Amino acid sequence: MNFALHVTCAPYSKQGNLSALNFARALIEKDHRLTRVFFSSDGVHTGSQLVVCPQDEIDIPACWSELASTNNIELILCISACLKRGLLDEGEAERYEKGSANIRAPFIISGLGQLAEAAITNDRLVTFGV
Amino acid sequence: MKLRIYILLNNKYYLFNEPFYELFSDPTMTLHIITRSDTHSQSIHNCLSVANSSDALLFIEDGTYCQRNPTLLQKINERGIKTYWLQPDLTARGLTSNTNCNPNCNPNCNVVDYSGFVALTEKHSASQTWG
Amino acid sequence: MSTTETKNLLFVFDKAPHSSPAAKEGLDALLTASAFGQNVTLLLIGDGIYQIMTNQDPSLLPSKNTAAIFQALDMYGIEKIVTLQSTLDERNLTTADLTIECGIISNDEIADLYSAQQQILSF
Repeated sequence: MNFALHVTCAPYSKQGNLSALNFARALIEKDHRLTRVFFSSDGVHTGSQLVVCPQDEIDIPACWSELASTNNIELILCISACLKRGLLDEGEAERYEKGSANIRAPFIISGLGQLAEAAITNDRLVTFGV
Repeated sequence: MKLRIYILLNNKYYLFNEPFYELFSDPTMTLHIITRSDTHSQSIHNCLSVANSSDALLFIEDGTYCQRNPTLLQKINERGIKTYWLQPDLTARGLTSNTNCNPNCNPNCNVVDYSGFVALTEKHSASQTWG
Repeated sequence: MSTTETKNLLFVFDKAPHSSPAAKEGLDALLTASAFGQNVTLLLIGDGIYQIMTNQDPSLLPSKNTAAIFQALDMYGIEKIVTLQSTLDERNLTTADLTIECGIISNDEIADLYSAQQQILSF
């Protein structure tokens, strides 16, 4: 089955982000196809390159990056949520003359259309956080 | 020996390890994912105002604290709604010894791991997360 | 978009406005899905019904008046907006307290509504 996830909460603020990561790993173990994870609201903090995690805690953003790179999953950050929270890729940093970008690979910034499309084209959409 | 049942759906085969009688339940049922305790949030009550007897409830995160409320569980039971509890979240919160969500004491109640969580989302046509 | 599929998408709003961005973000997602030609239904349940109460004016905060966006939904072809009698009763509300027309659905109708949905999005 094709799955998409919608994550609305930040890592380290609510458990939902970590629950989504655990669920994503279980999906892959069960040979499902996880096509896309859409991060909205505070969920976009997952895509910050500047997160520094204590060594004795799970590095949630790094785990998402690794999982996505290994399994070809799109990690999409909602653009309007990103801009308000100071998460910019090179293009947006240039557009708004902010001097630096801070999006971690392979996260990308895009619009809410990506969430709608995920709901339409996947067999299942599961939401975390809320 | 484990019974393995495959079903063919949309030209793909799916393996069901769950008891096979569940295959015959209504395919349009909803999985309601409860993430907050009943003492902190109204979401379990809002959920119960839309859930029907062929739906299932999965309690995760602080939703697992709902098992401290036997009146609530009894109400869910009486409506024939199946409940599932996410094992890592129960364990983290010290809730595993409570008989309210022990399937030996309450046949309507099941404890699942993340693999079981995935299986529930496969089996139900849609899921709704209640924050 | 790469698909011409049409799905039944249920949007569930269960949070009050102003204290969190949930209402605004949910509305944006609802409008986007509708613009993609999807068959959308909006269920306002619990505190979500407060999003369409009359006489809201968040200009002193200040924040955007999301109630005004609800009033524009029918212009975008979003007409299926429903709530439950229990949601109104628990809050001592009647339909006269609501800024847009909102259908009240019975227990039987809610079961039919849910069983018709392919995906459910909550905000």
